[in-house]
Amino acid sequence: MTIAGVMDLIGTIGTATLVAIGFLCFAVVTVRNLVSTGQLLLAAKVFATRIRPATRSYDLWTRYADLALPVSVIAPCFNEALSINDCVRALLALEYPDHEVIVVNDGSSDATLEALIDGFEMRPIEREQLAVLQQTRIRGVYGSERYANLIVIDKENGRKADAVNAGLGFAAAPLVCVIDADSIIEPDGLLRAAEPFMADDGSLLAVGGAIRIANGSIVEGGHVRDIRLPRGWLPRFQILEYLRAFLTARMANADLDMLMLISGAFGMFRRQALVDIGGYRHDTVGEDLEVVTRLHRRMREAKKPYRITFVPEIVCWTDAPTTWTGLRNQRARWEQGALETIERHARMIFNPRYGRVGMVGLPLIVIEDVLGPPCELFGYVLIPILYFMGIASGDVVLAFFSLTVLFGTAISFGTLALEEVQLRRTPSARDLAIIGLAAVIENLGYRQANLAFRVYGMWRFFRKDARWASAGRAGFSRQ
Amino acid sequence: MVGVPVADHVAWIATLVSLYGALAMAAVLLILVMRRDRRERTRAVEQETMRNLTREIVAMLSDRSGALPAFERAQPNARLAAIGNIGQLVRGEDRAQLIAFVEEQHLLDRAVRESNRGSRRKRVEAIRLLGKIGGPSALDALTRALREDDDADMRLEAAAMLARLDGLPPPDEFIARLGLAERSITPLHRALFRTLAARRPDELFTIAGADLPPPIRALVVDALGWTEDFAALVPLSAAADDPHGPVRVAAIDAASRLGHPAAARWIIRLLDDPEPPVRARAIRACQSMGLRAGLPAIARLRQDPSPWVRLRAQQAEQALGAA
Repeated sequence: MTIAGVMDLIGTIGTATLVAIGFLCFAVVTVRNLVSTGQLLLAAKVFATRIRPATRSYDLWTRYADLALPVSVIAPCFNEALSINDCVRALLALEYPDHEVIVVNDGSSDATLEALIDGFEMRPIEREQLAVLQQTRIRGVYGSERYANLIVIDKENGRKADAVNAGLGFAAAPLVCVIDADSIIEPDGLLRAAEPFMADDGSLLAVGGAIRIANGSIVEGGHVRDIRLPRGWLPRFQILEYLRAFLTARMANADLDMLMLISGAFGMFRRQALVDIGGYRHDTVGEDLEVVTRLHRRMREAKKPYRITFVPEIVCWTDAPTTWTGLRNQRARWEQGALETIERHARMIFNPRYGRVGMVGLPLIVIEDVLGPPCELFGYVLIPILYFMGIASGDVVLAFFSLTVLFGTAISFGTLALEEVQLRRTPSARDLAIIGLAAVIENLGYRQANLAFRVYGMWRFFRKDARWASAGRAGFSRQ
Repeated sequence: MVGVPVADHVAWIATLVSLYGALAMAAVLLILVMRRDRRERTRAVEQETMRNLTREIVAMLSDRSGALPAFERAQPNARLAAIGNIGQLVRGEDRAQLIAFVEEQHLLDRAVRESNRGSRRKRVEAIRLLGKIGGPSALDALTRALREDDDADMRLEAAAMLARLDGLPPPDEFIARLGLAERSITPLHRALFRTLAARRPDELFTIAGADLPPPIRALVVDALGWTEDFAALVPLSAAADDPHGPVRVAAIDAASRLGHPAAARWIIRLLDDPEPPVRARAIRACQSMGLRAGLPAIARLRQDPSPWVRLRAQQAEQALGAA
């Protein structure tokens, strides 16, 4: 064979390999899109047929406050001197017959602790720690005569997981609500989250709620007073992402008993279930996904009946990143956390012992978080390459991009329609139109950037980079 | 692909699909936005209609006049919404008059029909509507749902609405209808039983002496605290010696609720109970009832092997010591 012949052969093999990888990526992306479509259809069915959350408990709790299962709200905070008192006031003001607020100062280097001590007349108290789950030293426990249901725990700096574990160790209520101190729970959030436990036989382990973006909304005294659409397009795109994640994916997964994630910004758990698994893990940046996966694992291995559910009416507001760097850090962290969880619980994947969670739930995370981002990103790069190599025609390139945009937009529109028909939290018709427009525009850059951020997260995972990169939030708008 | 006309043909079809898909989605968005816009524009009109409707219903109630224009025009749902709003504001004779009006106008007929047929969602919505409005036909329909619905969740929903209307059946029937002997007892069952205790104390005293499974015995003992009758102290004192811990816990809760000092003797005795939850609950009872005589035992419990007991002892010492 001549050199030219060898070169031709290498070229043919190279091209064939490229095309084969392209088809593989196309297959992964197709599966991902089919899963999204299936989740949207299932979520629509659930919304159409479900029995809406009861308010019967509210009536009964008015009469029998002691029957409302007590809740410990655990709010870890780090360097939040400026906003912490507003947050704590809002938590103390939540509508619930019996809740205590445990603020964990995770070794703040600013005046967070002093702000709490001054703002709530705190003084050192003795308090029995029911379980030691944290890895750092507790420096002090503070209570207040004026605010009897407020406890402040001052500890050395760990991470959010370590701070939550410290709070969990001091929590004396059967239910714990784990939140981010900078998140805002709607006043009836605890009532709504605790309601499913009221008629539960003990098998319900956790309840998740929907997280919504508060950028642009007016926040006053730790409450969202006026829901408004953010001005920038970056948070608007994230509104859509959150809607898709919470109103379709989680609704569908919860219906199939394979809800894998309860957001770290808001989740209600049976305290004992968390203590039994040793609390949150300290060595992952995706502790919220990991803890729910571990709950599933523990219960499946013990062959005990259990439920983990999702209630879309529970709303917790959060501040979304407003810069590309902040967004990159957040998405890379989510990706890294997902990979860490998959690595740690790899033996559950396709293992019938873990039921749907092992056979479907975790494989879906693999498709979504391991294979999906690089495959889709590769597709965006490959199609123009094939065009310039003369392998794909302009018609094929156009078809690929138009179908990609169509699919992405269709899922977003479907979710938006669900939201509008079932929950209607978008402020106005104009805002609805703007979010609809965002559903189209997000396909032209934002979506691809997000994929790149996720691939960056993979890079960090393989490098075992455990640094915490801030999402650089802008803070809530105050009037 | 070049030289493969099929690929180009498929691509052309895909592009066309995308185009038509985009048009369809634009139409969907337009419909959603227009629907919302119309809703925003008509909100003020709807509010005004509701005000007129409410005003007319109040007028029809007071002077027994016939149907007025807004009432005539209104959809059944709007009429019921107005009735629901008025119902939240009136009590006693006015409420009875409102219920009579609802019955007379047959406003609940549809909900009564839907409460025992159709999908679970429809049944629950009908049951909740009946519970919100009340009246004889609502009570009948809810009682029928409690007795006859095959679905345990529907029966529980009906029971919750009957509790709201003070229409729960006697305790033994309630236990049977909800299948409590076969189900785990939840806080909701306890709440319903407490409602029942206030209405049917004598029947509850009778059943308290019967031979019941321990979880149901605990349920009954807990409800005794809500009879508002100190005669309950006798069965509660007996329950304090029950071999099952949850029954003893329920006895403590009920006694705390009644708050009578006669229970102090056995509550303080239960500070030395072998089961930690009973000791912890006895400490809380001492705290809430201000039983300072229990302080020496509570001080000892600061060294209890159970962290829960130690925590409660710590809290009680702080509260009783400060008192």
